[in-house]
Amino acid sequence: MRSRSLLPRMSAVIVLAKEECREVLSGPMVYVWCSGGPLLAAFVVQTYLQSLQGMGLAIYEDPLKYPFVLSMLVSGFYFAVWASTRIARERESGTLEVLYWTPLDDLELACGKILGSALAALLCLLWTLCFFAITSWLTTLAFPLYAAPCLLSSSIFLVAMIALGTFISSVASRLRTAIALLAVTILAFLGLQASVGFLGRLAAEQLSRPLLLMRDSANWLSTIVGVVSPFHYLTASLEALSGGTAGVYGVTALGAVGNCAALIVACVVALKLKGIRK
Amino acid sequence: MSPRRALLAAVALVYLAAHPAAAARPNTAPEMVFGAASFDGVSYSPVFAPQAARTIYLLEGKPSAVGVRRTQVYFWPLTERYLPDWEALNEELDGRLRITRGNTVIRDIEKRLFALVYPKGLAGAGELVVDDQARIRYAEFQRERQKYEEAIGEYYRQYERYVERLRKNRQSEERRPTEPRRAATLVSPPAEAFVIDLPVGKYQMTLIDSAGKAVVGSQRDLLVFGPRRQGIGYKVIPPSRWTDPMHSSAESQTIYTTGQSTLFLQPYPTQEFNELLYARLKDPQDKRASEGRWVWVAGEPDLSKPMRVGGITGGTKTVEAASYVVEQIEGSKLGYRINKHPAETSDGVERGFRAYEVAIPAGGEIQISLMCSESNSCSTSQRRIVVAAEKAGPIYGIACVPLLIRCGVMLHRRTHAGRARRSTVA
Repeated sequence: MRSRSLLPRMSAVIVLAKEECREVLSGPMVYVWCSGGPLLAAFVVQTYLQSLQGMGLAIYEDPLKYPFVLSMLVSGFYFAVWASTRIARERESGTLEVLYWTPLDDLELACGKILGSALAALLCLLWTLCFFAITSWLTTLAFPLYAAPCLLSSSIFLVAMIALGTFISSVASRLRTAIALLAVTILAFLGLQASVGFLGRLAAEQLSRPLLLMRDSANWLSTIVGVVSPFHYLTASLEALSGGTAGVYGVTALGAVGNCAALIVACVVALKLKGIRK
Repeated sequence: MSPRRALLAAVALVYLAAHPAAAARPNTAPEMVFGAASFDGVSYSPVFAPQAARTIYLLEGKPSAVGVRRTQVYFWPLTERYLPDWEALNEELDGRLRITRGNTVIRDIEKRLFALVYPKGLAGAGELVVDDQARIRYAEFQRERQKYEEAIGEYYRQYERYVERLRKNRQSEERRPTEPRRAATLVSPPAEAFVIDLPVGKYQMTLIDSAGKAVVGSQRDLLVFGPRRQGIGYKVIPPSRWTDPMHSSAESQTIYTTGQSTLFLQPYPTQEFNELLYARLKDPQDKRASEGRWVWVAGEPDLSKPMRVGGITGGTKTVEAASYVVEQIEGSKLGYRINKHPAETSDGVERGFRAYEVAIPAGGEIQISLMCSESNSCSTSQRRIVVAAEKAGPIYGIACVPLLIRCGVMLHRRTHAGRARRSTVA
């Protein structure tokens, strides 16, 4: 298998990816989540408009940026959960063993699974962009982010979430374990980001010594976790887009691509070490 | 634990809890500290940097004055910062300040005479003048102040005479004397300091004594930084809330209103800085700011250029800045009325503001910009003013489209499968 040339490997990945994509799109849940994200976004947009009506005046830089990020987070959660079930479920039911009798190696399996889910995620992303374009047109709230860089950031975020889910799936022996691990990981990422934001806004004199220590530790941990957290890459790249700092955006995007690549490699290693049986 | 020991422990705990920690006298220690008058983008802020603050932050493009002193420093736990006790010790250190980058000496700076000039008072912009200019400006300021003191003395004498005459005659045709206006300009007394004006970068600085040796404890890092973005911002004053205006700092921001209205706009130069660097520029011991956030710093309003107002569908027109006076609506109803008026009323008290008046059409969208020349608008001065939709109802329906499609497909499949089953049975 190792001596096969690139073309047959690519075609094997494409076959697996197509099957994976078809499976995502044939299920009802993807449609629920593709509506859920925009519905949440619509709620936020409504609060913006209500606040504007109340104040009579509002100044926004990208009023649809946070609703868009929210929508992306919802899609990201769904695709990460979906990806986390794929290998673990097959391992649990024993069908992963069958896959290993086909001419697929670990890398092709990981790439095929991730690519298939990523294709479906891109379709979801395109729908989300259409939704925000229509929202912008109907409400006159500006949405200048649907330029290529925004599409790129969101795509990278979704792929990173799928890669994270696939990695956890390849580590876990059971479906339940995979979902629990993913939930803990995501909660840890988000919790850390939220606590850094919350403690960072408080003045030093408002914080007791343990809280100060907690803030410093959270900042320190956040720097490390920021390297692997897809949420960090999404918020940092959108922040760079708003600030017009192309250099920072480029570095962030490259970091996110590197993160995806590292997760794919980690998947392959986990598949090798963990094997195909539960 | 025996009951006696437990009682002793309880007494000790009660004593410790009741003993007021704040009454403790803080420990002080002599330290070599840096003080600075740092340019903060608009004016000059006083900065204190004890040994605990190893880096001093300065802005590029404008000079800042830095001094080195020895004083007693103590830690104040309530604000978690080191503070100076100038009364206990305040010794100015002489020498020259050596700026280095790695092993390369960038500059050796000697002390110079400097003064801070505030042409519109302490609340306005400030500038730093050095050497002879510092002496000249301070001497001018003192002359102006003396003139004012003489004039105000004369005014009080005239006013007393006026009141006396009024008391005697009851009705006087005589005009009340006018109070002289104090010149807004303030100038600080000239003082000696190291005046630093460096390009963006990381440096080290050390005080070198007269023998040419580095003074122990005087080494500090120096970080010179600049803005991420700069441009023209607007203070947006809605007539109903003129005491609570909003600010539009970046060109990428859009101003949203709710319908036909009038807005008053005051443009000003603005710069965007990293929040952490800017906070540490003003206070090197700051622990509150975050490196990931950005802060806009507004300059003084500049209403010298005409404003071009263009509708996306209509034509364009040029608006000049005018003075407006604010009056409260008569009666019990709250509200304001803003009328065009000279800013200074006859008694010399300012009751208004200068701004550009922009009328927003109902359901419309307009674009504004300042004109730097007859045909060119100033970069970053463009803004969109948009009347936003009132309700978000339709977008809920659009959000449900994927779900509806899926339901449609399911229904279609079921109907199709039902038909197929019936035809098979038949």
